[in-house]
Amino acid sequence: MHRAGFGMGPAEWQASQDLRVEDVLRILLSDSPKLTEKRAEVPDRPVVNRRNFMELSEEAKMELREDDEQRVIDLRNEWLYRMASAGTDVLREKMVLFWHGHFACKCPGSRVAMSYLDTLQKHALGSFRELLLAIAREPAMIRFLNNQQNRKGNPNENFARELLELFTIGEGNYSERDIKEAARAFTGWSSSFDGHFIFRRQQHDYGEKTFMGERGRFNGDEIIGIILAKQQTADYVASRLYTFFVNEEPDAKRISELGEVLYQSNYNIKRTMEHLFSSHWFYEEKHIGTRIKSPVELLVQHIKLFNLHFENPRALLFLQNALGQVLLDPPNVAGWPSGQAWINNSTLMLRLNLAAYLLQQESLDHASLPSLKAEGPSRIVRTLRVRSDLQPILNQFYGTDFKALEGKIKDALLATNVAVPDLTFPREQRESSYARKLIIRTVSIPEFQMA
Amino acid sequence: MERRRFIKRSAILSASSLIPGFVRQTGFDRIYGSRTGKILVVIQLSGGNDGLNTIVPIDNDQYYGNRPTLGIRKDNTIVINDEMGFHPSLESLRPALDRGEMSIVSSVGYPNPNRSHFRSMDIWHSASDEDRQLQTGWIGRYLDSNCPSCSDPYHAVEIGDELSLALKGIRRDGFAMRSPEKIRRTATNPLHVHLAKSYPDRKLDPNVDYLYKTMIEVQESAAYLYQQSKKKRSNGNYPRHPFANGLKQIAELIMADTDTKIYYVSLSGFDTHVNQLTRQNHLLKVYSESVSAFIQDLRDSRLLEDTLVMTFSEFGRRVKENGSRGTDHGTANNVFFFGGSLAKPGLINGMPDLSKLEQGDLIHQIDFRSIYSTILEDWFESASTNILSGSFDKISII
Repeated sequence: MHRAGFGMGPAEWQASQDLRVEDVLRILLSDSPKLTEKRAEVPDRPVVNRRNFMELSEEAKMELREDDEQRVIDLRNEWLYRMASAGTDVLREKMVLFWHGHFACKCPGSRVAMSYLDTLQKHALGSFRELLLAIAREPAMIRFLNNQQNRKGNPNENFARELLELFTIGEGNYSERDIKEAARAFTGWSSSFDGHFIFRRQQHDYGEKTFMGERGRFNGDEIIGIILAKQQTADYVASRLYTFFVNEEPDAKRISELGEVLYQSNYNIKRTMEHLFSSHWFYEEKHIGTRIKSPVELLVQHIKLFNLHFENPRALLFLQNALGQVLLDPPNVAGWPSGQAWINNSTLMLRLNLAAYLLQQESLDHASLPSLKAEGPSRIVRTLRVRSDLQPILNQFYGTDFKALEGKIKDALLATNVAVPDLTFPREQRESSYARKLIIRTVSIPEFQMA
Repeated sequence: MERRRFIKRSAILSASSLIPGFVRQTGFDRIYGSRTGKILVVIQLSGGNDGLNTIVPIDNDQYYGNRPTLGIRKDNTIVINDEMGFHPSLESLRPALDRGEMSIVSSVGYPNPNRSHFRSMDIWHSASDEDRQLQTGWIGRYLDSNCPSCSDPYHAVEIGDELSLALKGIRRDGFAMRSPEKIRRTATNPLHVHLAKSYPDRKLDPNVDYLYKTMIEVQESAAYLYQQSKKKRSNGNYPRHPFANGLKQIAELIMADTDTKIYYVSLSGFDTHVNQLTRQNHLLKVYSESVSAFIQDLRDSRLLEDTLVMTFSEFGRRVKENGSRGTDHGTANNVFFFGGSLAKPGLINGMPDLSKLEQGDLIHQIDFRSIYSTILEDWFESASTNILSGSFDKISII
């Protein structure tokens, strides 16, 4: 659950007690009932078209922009809460997060962001081919990679380059010429002012192109077809899946095994994930608890464990920012660098202090060491305005013998309980708040950062 | 950091770190050692700054021919001489140039230029050949093997949340922070001070070990940098911008005689595929006003002679503008230097040659590693061939 999802919440521990691996897999991979359920839409604003937008006063325009910025923040919040409450749909949510890193896109505006997210959601466990074709038509991506400006006779190579370098086949498997020719095939793929895909016929280059050794009057779909026909594309995508779900350290043999499944299944993502999770090597000790959680995974897990609710709508944005990963705003089209790259002095410190900040915990409870209480958290918490509810998690440990408590909490919260330091201080009083203290301490140690 | 030494240090730390006064009294000064006096400040312009519109070749018809809408007319530039005009936003750097505190190296790049932001930035950071991928940066390797006194993370400080590849070594890394205040606030959690004590006795997964080491180093460095940051206040005239704040913090740390040799700070947003003029105007203005205030601060404190500021970008942009009043990814670009010890102020080499292009892009005249080798050898008095895996001709910067 740490690796396929966002760690378990209190309810899931209860439910998972008697399940075997196969049962869990069946649940994770079964068709989700939730997908058909449309998520709570952010209420739509009146449609603004280019003409009446231009006629608005500067103030009105500014107001619209600010309003839209707020909507993007709401969208992120909604997404984070959805990940935290995904239940049996958690693998799909984890895949959406993976694809967001793969098809990394800074989304300019709420409308296009919503459409982009819907696409990721819809195809997250479906066909990579469908996903890619849909992403190439997403106005968010078209605008982010300047395909609006990609016109016959005046090509803009941005989209074509990233398509090859980052989305499909990877560096070293194409030439500069391939990029130029692919760019021509995507000329005219554009978006309307109100955020819909449109094909601008008069801007499209219908001429003959030579792409990866093939010749024809290719359009964008056909270029994608040629790319997907290469085994290297499946291998590249497999390597991204492997380093996200298994181990940062690529293993050429496992990756090509996974790439083969992806290719042979005509890019069926679900089948590939099924293969991954059913492989004995996925469960090898060397892959467990060795991956550093991404900031979003960490945040979602905190929301889940402590039932967090942020009354300040900007609070989660602040946290994403400070931890180094803002949804819908990756550093660039290559997505977020992962692993140890998440960690530097400042992000690590926030990670290790996150629970204390969020729960206004009476410091990390060593009364003799006052500095934390005096400065850091109280100020931040005031602005975050976060509500939490620890009762469900405490209930899980209710009645546990004090002696067994620390072990039980660590087992539940940590990916692996190998060589974790003692969290009960010498001569500590084991009173009623002991469980609560241990929980907070457990999520505040470096080992909790691992999945 | 070497584990044995590290363990010894963390023992000192856990006893004292929460009480800054105590730190001073127990003679931390001796542990920190003294700096060499020479400081390098690296400014990164991320996204690929359009060098041709920054240092404008005002007598070049090919420039104007390729830039019908973006070309900056001679009388709109700050004319420096017959062939060179500054972008109007660089106005506040003119006094530095006139004082001999600014040098420009043009046409800097590397063979087989890569036009991907990430790859080209990695190449600049790691100082690798185009076809080699390295996991360490040139500054990181300098800390690792050529700077015996640089044993603490704060010997190379980056302003920002993320530590760049340039400052990552194998044994040693630089230190990233938004501000000394922010980093100190998080570094003093009692639980973590408690954990630091048990660290030496445990055998850990490499990633977990990395987290512990980082945690302990932060506790230590944060205490030191915070203390240093309180010593001096700059009254410089910096614009309101995070980049300017970063430079100001650096100025204050330098003025406090902080034991940091290398500072690193970035300004991003230069990827001007569309409507370049407004964006670049704004960014260059922020850049030049901030740098101008920064060198003024150092000049006033008589520290400019000990300081070398270098500015680079991962690549320049294509000579011909694109169809959306912007420019696409290009190749060779300018590198700027500021300081009080420049050997040859002004333009060091010639203006870029626009008559010989490759795929519409400039052909580099100077390898960027020549610049690194000059900094390493002439500024830091260190070897360079082991860091750059090869020998690169030096150029007369300092």
